[in-house]
Amino acid sequence: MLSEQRIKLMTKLSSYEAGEGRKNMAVGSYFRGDYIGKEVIKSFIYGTIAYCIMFAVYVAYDFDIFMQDIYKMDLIEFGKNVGILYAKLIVAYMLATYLVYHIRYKHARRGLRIYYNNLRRLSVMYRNETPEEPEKSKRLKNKN
Amino acid sequence: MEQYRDKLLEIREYIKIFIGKYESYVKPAGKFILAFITFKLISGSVGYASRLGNVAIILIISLLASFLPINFIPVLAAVYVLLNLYALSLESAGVVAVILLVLFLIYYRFTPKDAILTVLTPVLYVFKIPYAMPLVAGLVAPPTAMFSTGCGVIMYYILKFFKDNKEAIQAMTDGEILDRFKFVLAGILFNKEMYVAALAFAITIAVVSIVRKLDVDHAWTIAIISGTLVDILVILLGDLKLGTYISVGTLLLSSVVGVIAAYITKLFLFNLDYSRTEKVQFEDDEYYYYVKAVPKNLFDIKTGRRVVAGESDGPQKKRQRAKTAEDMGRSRRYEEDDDMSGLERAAAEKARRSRTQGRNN
Repeated sequence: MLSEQRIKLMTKLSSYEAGEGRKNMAVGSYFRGDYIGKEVIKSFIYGTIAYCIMFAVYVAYDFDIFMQDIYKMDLIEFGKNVGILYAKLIVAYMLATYLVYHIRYKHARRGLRIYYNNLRRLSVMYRNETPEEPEKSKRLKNKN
Repeated sequence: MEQYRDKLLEIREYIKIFIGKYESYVKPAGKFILAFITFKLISGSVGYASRLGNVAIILIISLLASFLPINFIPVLAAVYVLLNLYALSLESAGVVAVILLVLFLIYYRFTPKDAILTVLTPVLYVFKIPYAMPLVAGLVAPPTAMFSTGCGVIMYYILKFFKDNKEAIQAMTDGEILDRFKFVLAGILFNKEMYVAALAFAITIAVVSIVRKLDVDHAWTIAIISGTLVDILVILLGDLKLGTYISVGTLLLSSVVGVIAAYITKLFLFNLDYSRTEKVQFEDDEYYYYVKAVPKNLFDIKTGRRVVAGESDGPQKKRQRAKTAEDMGRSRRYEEDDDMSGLERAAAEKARRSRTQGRNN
């Protein structure tokens, strides 16, 4: 017999699995530390590439002045300033990445928790709907 | 006044029914129209590659965009812009490619859901209503939308720069590669108006996003008004400080249009009747609940009149609603149970069942 409540629940579960659930399951398959660590490492790489590109553009913009002054300037001091700026920017970017993916992981886990609870409710519904075996046939089975 | 509100609610219901019924056609059609407008506007601003400006080509790319996820439209738009700028000069395409690459590496690797705002912002700029964007984005998108709209502002000013300086760039000979490169880079990166606009949009989105979530009556209305005032204030301050010479008349007119657009958004998404707010209290085994319920303004097409949720509920329906609220409190417990081990969970469930049986007896 069709149970409207069960069908509604199954539709909700199916809709979640097809949409948001797919992404959340991919996220949920990682431990929190591994997931956030993976994204922070990616941010480190992308941030370093972006910084190198911006530095190259900065040098290219004043290339002629740079080439004139390169023998006069304190290269170690210049390199130190570039390095400090890089360190500050990359740390800020990695921190922002940590926050973003920490929140994403939390939301994904919450969504999955609700999904698994709904699965449990569906299982209870099935158990309640399955008719119990009559007492007589149970006794006969136990005798055999 | 009430007649106009009821009429708007009726129109809203018909639109919702229409979209619900024909969603599989409406979504691709919407993407097609947005892509077509975007590519046509880009072609109008920086259409230096004459072949790419052909309506047939634009229609084909728009048709392609209608079948892809909506976040592909900014990618296609970026490629279209680069191809057009390549026809103008290699340095122009190179500088914009570098800017887009940096934006992609820093921001778009987070695959934001609101990436489409990067395309919508320049479109609204061309239609002279840019200040609608931060108000509406603050209402419907999370605070991270400030980065997407910021990228959209950058894209608009890049296109504006090339549109305004086309002759100057073309006048430079091929031997002046470095000069052309410096001219393009300086023109884009040292544009104070761009930074003022991006900052104003970011602050407005943050303010609207925070205020609309406050637990006060008419939170969305307060958010729209405060967002508008903050937006105007930041732009005027930027104008005074940096001398950007923004037209105050355009700013005010565009802000008024933005407020109207925000109110229409509010009508569709958050239309409540605060005069019928109900406050209920109930308890279960672990918690005491204070619940504030604000009914929505609905429109019944069959009767042709406005209906406030819960207006015609009898005592039975009210009891049902209270039970549903109590069940919601119970389902919240189910979420917390997930942190326990299997044995602990079984023990908790057994204790809960015995308490329920005790209550029923």
